[in-house]
Amino acid sequence: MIHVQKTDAQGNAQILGNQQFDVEMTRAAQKGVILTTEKIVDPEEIAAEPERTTIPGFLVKAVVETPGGASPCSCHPYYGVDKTEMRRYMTLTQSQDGLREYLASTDETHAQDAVTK
Amino acid sequence: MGNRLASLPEHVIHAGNQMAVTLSRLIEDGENVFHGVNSPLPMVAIFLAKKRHAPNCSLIEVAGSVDPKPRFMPNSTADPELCHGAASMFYNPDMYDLFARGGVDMAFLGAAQLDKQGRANLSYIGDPFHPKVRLPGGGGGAVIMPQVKRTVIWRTVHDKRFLVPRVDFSTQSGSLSHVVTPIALFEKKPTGLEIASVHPGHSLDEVIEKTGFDLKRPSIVAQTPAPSAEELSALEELDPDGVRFSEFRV
Repeated sequence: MIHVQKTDAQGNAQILGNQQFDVEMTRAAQKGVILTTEKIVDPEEIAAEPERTTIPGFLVKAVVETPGGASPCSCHPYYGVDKTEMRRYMTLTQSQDGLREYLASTDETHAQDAVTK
Repeated sequence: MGNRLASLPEHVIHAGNQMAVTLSRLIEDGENVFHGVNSPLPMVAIFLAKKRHAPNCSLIEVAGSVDPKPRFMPNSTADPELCHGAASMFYNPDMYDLFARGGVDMAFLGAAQLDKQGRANLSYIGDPFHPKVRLPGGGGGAVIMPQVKRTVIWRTVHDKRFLVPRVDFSTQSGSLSHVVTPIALFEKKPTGLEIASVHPGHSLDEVIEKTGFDLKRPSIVAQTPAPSAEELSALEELDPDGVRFSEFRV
């Protein structure tokens, strides 16, 4: 599962900023890729700059529009690392009860319906 | 662009059109399809398939793109125009990686010599140390052909120099499924290549006579369906400059 800045509904995606090994992992995923994304855009917007589109739709099984989906990690240029939230996560997840408390407290309001390809 | 041959009488099907539609019909919807360099007929055939019966197939271009929208059909199949309007980029190292992972359904490859067992020669003719002809080599074919699910080989000349009893050198083999020539469509069976259908305007005897390896004489000879009016008009629209004819000797 990879979080990207933008993609079309077919999963032709642009991942910007620090990419780490995300692009390589899309190639290696044997059962395909699930994309979460800040924004689903029109295919024309993606096709206007192919050189930025490094994840091809044929590798992608599903696309989920999830603004803020990388938080508390970063998604350049939308948001940086949320250090307070990160510290809360690291503290709470020391125990099973803490993990449950953390999961119960996370904001799920951004979750959208998956776009079925 | 100078690709257009002298015009033919209306009832004669140009082999370029027959081959383009025959190649195109081998593509199934939803497949990941690849063509390499120097492959005008397969390039046009894949665009035709996407336009007609296989809109969801992904065209993986050797130019490094997926599903481009070129503003004109380029003569070179590695032309940068084949990156214009692409759905994504997919550069050659990624492409070879995808072949190795079994992620490509179909590849179109060429051959100078081909034998009944589906071995293709793109290396040399004659003595390896003093070759009569030094061929360009297989490019990525030796890696692609064993790893892709199906390979289709095409050549615009059908003769005994191409279809030989045994290749002088096996540059690449594996996964051959069909061969398309100007006069016939072959299918690879467990026993080797056999005639699947003969193109309109040609006979079984002609195919057998021009083929250098032994062929089973089928009891019923299937005829390759001629290009339909819809296919021909789609071809004209996609390729008005006649890039699909550029592999034929004028």
